[in-house]
Amino acid sequence: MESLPLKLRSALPNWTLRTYLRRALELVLLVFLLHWIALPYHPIVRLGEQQSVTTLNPEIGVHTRLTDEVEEWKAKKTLQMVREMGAPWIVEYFPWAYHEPSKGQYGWEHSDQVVAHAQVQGLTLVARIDFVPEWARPEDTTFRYLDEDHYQDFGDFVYAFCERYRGQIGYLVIWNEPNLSFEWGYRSPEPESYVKLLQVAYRRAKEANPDIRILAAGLAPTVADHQDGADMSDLEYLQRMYDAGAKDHFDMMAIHSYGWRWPFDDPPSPDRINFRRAELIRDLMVKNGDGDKRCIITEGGWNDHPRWIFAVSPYDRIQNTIGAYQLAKDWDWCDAFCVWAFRYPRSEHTFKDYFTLVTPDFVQKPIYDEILRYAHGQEPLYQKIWAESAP
Amino acid sequence: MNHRLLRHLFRGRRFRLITIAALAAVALLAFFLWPRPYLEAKDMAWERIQRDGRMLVGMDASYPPFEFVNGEGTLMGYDVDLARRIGELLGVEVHFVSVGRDGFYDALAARKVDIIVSALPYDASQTQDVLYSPEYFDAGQVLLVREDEARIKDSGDLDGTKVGVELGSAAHMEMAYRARRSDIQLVFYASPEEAMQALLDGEVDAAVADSVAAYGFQQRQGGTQKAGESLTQEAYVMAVHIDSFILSAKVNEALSELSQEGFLKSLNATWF
Repeated sequence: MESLPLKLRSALPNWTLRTYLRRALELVLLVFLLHWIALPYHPIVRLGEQQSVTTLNPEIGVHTRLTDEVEEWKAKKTLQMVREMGAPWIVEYFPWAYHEPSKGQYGWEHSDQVVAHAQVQGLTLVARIDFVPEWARPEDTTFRYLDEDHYQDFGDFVYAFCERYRGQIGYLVIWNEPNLSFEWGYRSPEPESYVKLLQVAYRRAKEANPDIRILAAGLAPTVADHQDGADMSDLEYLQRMYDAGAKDHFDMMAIHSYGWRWPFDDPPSPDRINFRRAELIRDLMVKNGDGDKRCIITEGGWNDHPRWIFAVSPYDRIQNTIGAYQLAKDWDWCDAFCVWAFRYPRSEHTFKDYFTLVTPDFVQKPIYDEILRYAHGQEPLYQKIWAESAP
Repeated sequence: MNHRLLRHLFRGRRFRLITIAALAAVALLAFFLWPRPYLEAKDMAWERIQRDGRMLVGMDASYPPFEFVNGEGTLMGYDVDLARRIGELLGVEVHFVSVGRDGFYDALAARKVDIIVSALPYDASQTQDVLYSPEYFDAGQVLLVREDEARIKDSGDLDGTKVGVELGSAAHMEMAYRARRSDIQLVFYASPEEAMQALLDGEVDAAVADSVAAYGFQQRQGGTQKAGESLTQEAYVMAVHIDSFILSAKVNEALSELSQEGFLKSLNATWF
């Protein structure tokens, strides 16, 4: 103190060195406290107690969309509502690029949360993997573009994924709708090349977890004629898969089955896209000696937008969805029908919002309530109206 | 430096004048020298439209009555007429480009189209990439009553009433929410038309439907009127690339003119 200028010394309090040190420590603690208070609030989300699903139809499922759901509490609430609705099955998407942004470097935090919450809610999770990271594809290609040079990289990721979630995830879908040019990186669909991808993925998945069941990709139901390298019919694509030796490289078939404007029981036909087109996929499997394999409808359902030309009325959507759940239960080769989609993290501001059962704000749509009533053996509202309005 | 001299300078009127003059000079210099990219910005879309004499309108013809293809393969609808009329006011031809609904914003970003006119709902999250026009149609839910209804003026007068809605619809959801806070009995129907017919038949005191269904029913049947403001809003807007500031201004001006001359109302009468 004596070394300080007189004026400065007179301006300072008359403290001892110990007091100065204590005051400095208090100041540092105060700064930390203020910094901690100013941090964004992150609520602690607990997994909660182990739950089980109560339902009269064990094949009810939904496709959740938690991929871009940032907040853990929303993921938990979504899965809780799925359970409460009476749906034991979910399909969820795990983009490769999100989990392996660079070769060999993995990030599992988000998927760990989703998988853990799904397990605690008593749900059976079917995982779907695709979405190519930038390092695994050429420049100016889309995230749907994967060439054979990188099939081993995809296989490595499949291995890492299956190893990490061994005991938690028992079903894995390899890719999505590869019969569409868009889903095949804007290339002409190549069933033979897809079979090579399936072969690599199957082998690596079984190395990590021999008990995991590999599902061949759900194909987009389409009557496209593959002219000029565009989309290919799901039936043609599947037959070519079998011709290329796919049979030994998958355990189950994923099926996409949308009703569009047709009722759930509209008869199947190769030139019509309706819910029962799933039976045509099944028939092809049987024809190719795969009748002992089971199927999961991983996407499907109806849309009730008031103006979209492929939509039905909300009333018909409810009736068809419940009818489809019952029909899937009656099919002895089908383990589940997972409606697209349970909820989006944010509004799409398009007709797509009318595929969901719950709004982004967790408001239950009437169709959710009707499925819940059906799953718990209560008479759905729409049946009352049907009875009252009948002549 | 001499402290007393400094204090004298800082207090003086002359100093204040010098300070103000210096600040003004700096501001003037900054104004002329500071980069102003917005003054040199180009509206590539507008330049192309003027050069080619036509405007590329992105549209997904799967939303009747706004846009659809009739049995003869002709593109028709509310938005088709609106886009053509705007083209007339801008003095250019209109060429419709088919774009999938989930590719609208990509099409604008890639400059495949100049403008989207296709029952496009306003989406605040897109405003960093596009410029929206003002709303030209509200597709939200509306409350309908009979023409001779005296008591129910708006949704605040629904206590103790029966309200008809289409089961499972957005109208159902909106009224279910309101019914939790008021004494409203919901009566369910298989379609909005049935709900509105029930209103005419006296089975319910009011009905809720989206504005397109409501307009259409009123055109065909009459006997109903809208009560109060819309219960929900779903603004349909047009969108251009964020850099298309000239095109945006011209479209907005044209839209305002069309609104004032009653063209938008005439489209309601034609298409609903």
